[in-house]
Amino acid sequence: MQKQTPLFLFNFFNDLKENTTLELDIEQYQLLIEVLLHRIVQEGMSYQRPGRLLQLCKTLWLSNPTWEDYFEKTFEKYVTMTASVENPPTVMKPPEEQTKAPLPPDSSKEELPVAEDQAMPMQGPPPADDVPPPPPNQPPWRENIAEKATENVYVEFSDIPAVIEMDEKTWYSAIEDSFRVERTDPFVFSEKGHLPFPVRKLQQSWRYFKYYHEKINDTEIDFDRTVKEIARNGMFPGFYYLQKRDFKDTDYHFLIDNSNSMITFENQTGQIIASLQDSIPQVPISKWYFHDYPDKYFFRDENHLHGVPAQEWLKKLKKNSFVFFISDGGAVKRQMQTHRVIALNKLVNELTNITARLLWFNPMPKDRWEDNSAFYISKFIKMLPITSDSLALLHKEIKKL
Amino acid sequence: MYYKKYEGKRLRKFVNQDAIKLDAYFPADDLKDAVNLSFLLNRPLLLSGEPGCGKTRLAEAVAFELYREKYNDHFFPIYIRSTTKAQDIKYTFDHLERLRDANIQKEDINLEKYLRLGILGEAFKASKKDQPAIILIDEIDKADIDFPNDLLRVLDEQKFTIEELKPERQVVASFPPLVLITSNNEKDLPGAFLRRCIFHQIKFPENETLKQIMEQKIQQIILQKVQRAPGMDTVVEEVKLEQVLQEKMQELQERVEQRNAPGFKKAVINQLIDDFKNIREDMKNSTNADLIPSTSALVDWTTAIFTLLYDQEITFNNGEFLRGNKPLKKYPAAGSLFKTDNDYKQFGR
Repeated sequence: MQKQTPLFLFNFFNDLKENTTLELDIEQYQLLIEVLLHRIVQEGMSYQRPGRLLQLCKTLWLSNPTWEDYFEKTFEKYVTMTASVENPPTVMKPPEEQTKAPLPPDSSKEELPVAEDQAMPMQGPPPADDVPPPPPNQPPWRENIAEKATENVYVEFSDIPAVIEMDEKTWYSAIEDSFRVERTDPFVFSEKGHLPFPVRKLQQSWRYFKYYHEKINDTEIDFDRTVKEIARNGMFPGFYYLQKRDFKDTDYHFLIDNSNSMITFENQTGQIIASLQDSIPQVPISKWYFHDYPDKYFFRDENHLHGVPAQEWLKKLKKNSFVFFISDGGAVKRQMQTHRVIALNKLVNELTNITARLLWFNPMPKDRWEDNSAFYISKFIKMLPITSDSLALLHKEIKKL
Repeated sequence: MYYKKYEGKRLRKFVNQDAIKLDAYFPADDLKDAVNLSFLLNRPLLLSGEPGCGKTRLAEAVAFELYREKYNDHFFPIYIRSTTKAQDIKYTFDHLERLRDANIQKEDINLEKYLRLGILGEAFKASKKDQPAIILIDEIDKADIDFPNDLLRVLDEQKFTIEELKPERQVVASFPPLVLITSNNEKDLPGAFLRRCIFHQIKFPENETLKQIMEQKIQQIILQKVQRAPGMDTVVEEVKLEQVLQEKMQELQERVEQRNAPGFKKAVINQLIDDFKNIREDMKNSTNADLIPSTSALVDWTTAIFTLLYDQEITFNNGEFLRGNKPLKKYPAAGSLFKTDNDYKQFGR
């Protein structure tokens, strides 16, 4: 059984609770965790500098300034004590990279190394003594999440593998990669447009969708036609009845991530939707926008001005509805965003109660999902890369839906 | 999770418009962070610090940062008195008028007409999506000890019920407002209340921040002097007025520069900061000091001294303030710095 990792700064918190008159309850400790989760995981902020962390603790816990001296000394004691015992922090990388990975650029000398005992769990992998070694080709965090992927993904604070901090070089190479597709496949005079495959082929793929047909009752009177006939003939010729006809009782909902990292793929997204519209013109297609993950509202417009509450939006869906996500899932910036994964998992669970016709289009190639939220998301929803060789896969998936 | 962010950028220059007159405000990084944490965690921020350190002004500055000229529509200050009750700031119901009307007329009466929402009620009503109200509860420690306890649930749930209406009505903040509370630590606040807040103690600013504050104040003095100059009220066109103001300000600056040492403004600012810090240090070390001056006292002192300099009543040469040709023995305008006669006599040089 896995040994439990001590909670971050919990000893310091307990010391304050026992030795001061500060108003501290477990709720105050939870506040710290909430802030760290939000700021580090979601906003990518760093709390490696003890001064910054101290200031945060003061804001959350120091209700009476007369305890300030004791607060500072105790904080220093706990941080220094653990820092002297433990290993310096490392940035989580896949195993083959981890051995040669340098420290992130901002871990300068002035920054106190934060130790495992007191360190934020996202600062590095759990110590070797506590956790059984992972299989050689699999990072330890991936193994955990893969096991959980069949159920709901539940990410504990101590489970969060690492904040993948991208240095400038990596960041630029990410941007470069995202443009490479277009550079190698110039589309000026081709029909490919912004997509890495011909639009015509994509349109063909869309036609593989299965449709459910409903028939209209032929005993229903066609009033319009009956009235017209009376007007034309000057007499009542008898009732006309509605003709039997089929219609495709299906609608398409595109959930489009228009956060900054998706700007590059804006045209590509537009072309995917346009191709569907062209190939199946008679079905309703609606577009909904979000940043990173849909929260309480689904927005009709790119500026997020006209929102529909999530519950209302879900009510619009039918069992035949198709829901397509278009998002990088954190792959562009290679970010591990726990909140995003959890929120999307909840949403997908809600959606699967209504319709099983879900697909996720990720503009980034599959190897770029490895170390970020996209990997986790792909465990609970079928995720397809939009790359030149992914069209066959798309055919296959569409046939299954 | 979406939340507003306070960056402290928009009030780095004083605002001098027709309806809005605001001094510049320079929040420290940790203060900005505390405000953002308050937004993020949706908890009231309890501010403490020396009197005059800028606790109260922060709320105004945050409101201006978020809403600019319309900040008054979103800013709800509650200035606490010893008699303030939590009920008063939520709503009041005129029972007396209700009783009188009930005696006169028998038909159904619209109870809404006896209801007056208090500032907190108005703030909750105004706090809409992406437009959080900024609520200031100033000097909470002045109020009765029950006051914070009575506010506990209201601030926690951001709603309250008006029981007098039939059926009862709830006033709910549809978007969490930012609640800033100031305290001078005159009374201890109840533990349950403190557990619901986050905290920040505003420290004495760094030298650079002090310089920025003083420079803005000096600009304000010059502008006011020019605006009050004879003939300025005859300039009607706004564009022309702006131009004339700039010219006159330049003129005044040059005139005063000629009477004082070159670059006197920076020298005076540096000297005032040094002297002010020394005075504070002396007073802290003394057992006989009454009231240690804070940032607002320095701003007042700067205003007084630069008004004298621009009125050309005193000059500054070779590190000394002179009236005519005679050096001043005491700090000029020290009345704005020391609040008691005892302090003035002991520390006024």
